[in-house]
Amino acid sequence: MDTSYIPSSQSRQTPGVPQLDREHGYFASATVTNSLEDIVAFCKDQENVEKVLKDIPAKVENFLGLKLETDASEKDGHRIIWKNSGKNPGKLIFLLSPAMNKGTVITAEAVFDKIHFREDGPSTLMNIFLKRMKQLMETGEIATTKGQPSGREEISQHKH
Amino acid sequence: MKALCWEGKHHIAVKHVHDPHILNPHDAIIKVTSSAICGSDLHLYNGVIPTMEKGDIMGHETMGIVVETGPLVRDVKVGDRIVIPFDIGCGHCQHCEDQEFSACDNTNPNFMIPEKLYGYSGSGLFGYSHMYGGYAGGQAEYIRVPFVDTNHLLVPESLTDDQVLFLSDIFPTGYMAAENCHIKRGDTVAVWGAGPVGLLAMKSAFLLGAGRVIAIDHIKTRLDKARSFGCETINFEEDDAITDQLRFLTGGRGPDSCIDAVGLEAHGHTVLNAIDTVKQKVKIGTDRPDALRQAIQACKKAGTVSIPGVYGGFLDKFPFGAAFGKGLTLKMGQTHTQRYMKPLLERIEKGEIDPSFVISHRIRIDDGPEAYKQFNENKDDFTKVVLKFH
Ligand SMILES: NC(=O)c1ccc[n+]([C@@H]2O[C@H](COP(=O)([O-])OP(=O)(O)OC[C@H]3O[C@@H](n4cnc5c(N)ncnc54)[C@H](O)[C@@H]3O)[C@@H](O)[C@H]2O)c1
Ligand SMILES: [Zn+2]
Ligand SMILES: [Zn+2]
Repeated sequence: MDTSYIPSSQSRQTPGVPQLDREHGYFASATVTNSLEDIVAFCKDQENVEKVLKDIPAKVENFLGLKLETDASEKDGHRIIWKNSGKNPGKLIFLLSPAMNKGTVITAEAVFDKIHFREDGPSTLMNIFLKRMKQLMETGEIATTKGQPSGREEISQHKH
Repeated sequence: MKALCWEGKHHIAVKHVHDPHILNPHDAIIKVTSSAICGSDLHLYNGVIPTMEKGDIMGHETMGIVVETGPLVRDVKVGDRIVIPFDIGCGHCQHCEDQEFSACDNTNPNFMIPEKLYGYSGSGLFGYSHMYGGYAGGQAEYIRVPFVDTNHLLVPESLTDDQVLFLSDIFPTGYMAAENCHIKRGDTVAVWGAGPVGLLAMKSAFLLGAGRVIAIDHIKTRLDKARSFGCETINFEEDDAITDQLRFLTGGRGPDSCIDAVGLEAHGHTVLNAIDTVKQKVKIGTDRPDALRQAIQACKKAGTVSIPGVYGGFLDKFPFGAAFGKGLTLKMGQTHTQRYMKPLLERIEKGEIDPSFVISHRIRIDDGPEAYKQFNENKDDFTKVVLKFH
């Protein structure tokens, strides 16, 4: 694992749970059943970031336009970066480590020069982002009800 | 298509809505043949479960014929006759792998709401409020089923809809409630609520080896049903000292386990229930947990209280000291339906049980709104209503 990223004051960390410097970013973590290799492959696919962001139930100006950094999955592949070099520069860093018993822990950090959000706090949004990423990673789709029928859009009998 | 929609407290309407279509690659569309109304639907009808929206399609006890499948569906094909579990599992997360389907991580698009209220979110449920995902339910001519590979039970043509429909919810729910009691041969199990869930919990308790089952309710026809297969009964309206009764009936020890198949809308004329009722009416209380209080009070030392009855919020005057003082085990939650569907289908096929005994009414969808009213107000005649389609 890329230990240079872990501050030395926290060297006695719990195995499987990377400790990050909480000073300069916003964090969320999730445990997934996928293998490390699966996740690296998932993160290399730009289409996946678009899918996670599509219809995300919060305003995500910061995350729009995120692009995979060319030198992603650097070193031994346990650290992946999605970068935004548009008008609001910043990046999402994903740190991967084997979970205590099974699967992989993903710790995600958002680092932006200027964080501005129109709804929810950045940590909430990070959580939403990571949960949706987990859905897509584990199941191949993101749960939705958008487009399902309801009595709010009653149609005339004759159309049936 | 026609669908039964929630329009507000005590208001269900038949509406013409769009047919559902495939939204995700693991979806299927089912042409509904039978769909039941559940005691859980009454909690929505009575407006005690938050996050319902006008126009939501009701229903979570559904079966029918597959008419369309998404591109990544493997185990189900057009023409299959399936029962659909009420809880939606993804089949891939750790909880699904551990057969804890109603705790699935991945099927509630609105996971933020329960995360705020409960810490973490359970699975999505069909037709059961936006907090549980806002999925359109099965009291409609068609339903979309996400992750159909995980969320179906193929049923043989030799069995009728009525025999297998309740594998979608109340039979697994009654069974899991009894299983959670860890019944030892000859045990005495007391069950609060002789509605469909309670009745199936009582039957299941016998299947799992209980020697005696004691049913508690105030609806005579339901208590008669319980008596018809060997339960003893207590009518709480004729007898208010239920705990004393149970102590007397169990040789001074109390039942080995107690099942609360009533949930957050308990009836009864105890002082505490009167307070709960007022609080729920004026919205300063969420739940009326009087059956649960009694179950905890009545249970033997080191016994188990199993709670299939639904609760939503904060419980007032909850006798936690009694639970602690007696060292009780509490087990509860939404049923992991998928875990039980196959083994319980086998029991039906072998003739060990026919859950259709709970059905009192078979109706068409146009009579749905009136059926809700009757099922809520006239429990003597209405035990279980099944909508028949197509
Ligand atoms: N855990 C789950 O996954 C799950 C699944 C299905 C249903 N449920 C819940 O199970 C409960 C029962 O469902 P049902 O379909 O049988 O409902 P129901 O409304 O038909 O039956 C409830 C019964 O409880 C009786 N009752 C009310 N107050 C009582 C009291 N103080 N003491 C004893 N009995 C009392 C009523 O008279 C009625 O007969 C509901 O809360 C429902 O939401 C839970
Ligand atoms: Zn139900
Ligand atoms: Zn799952």
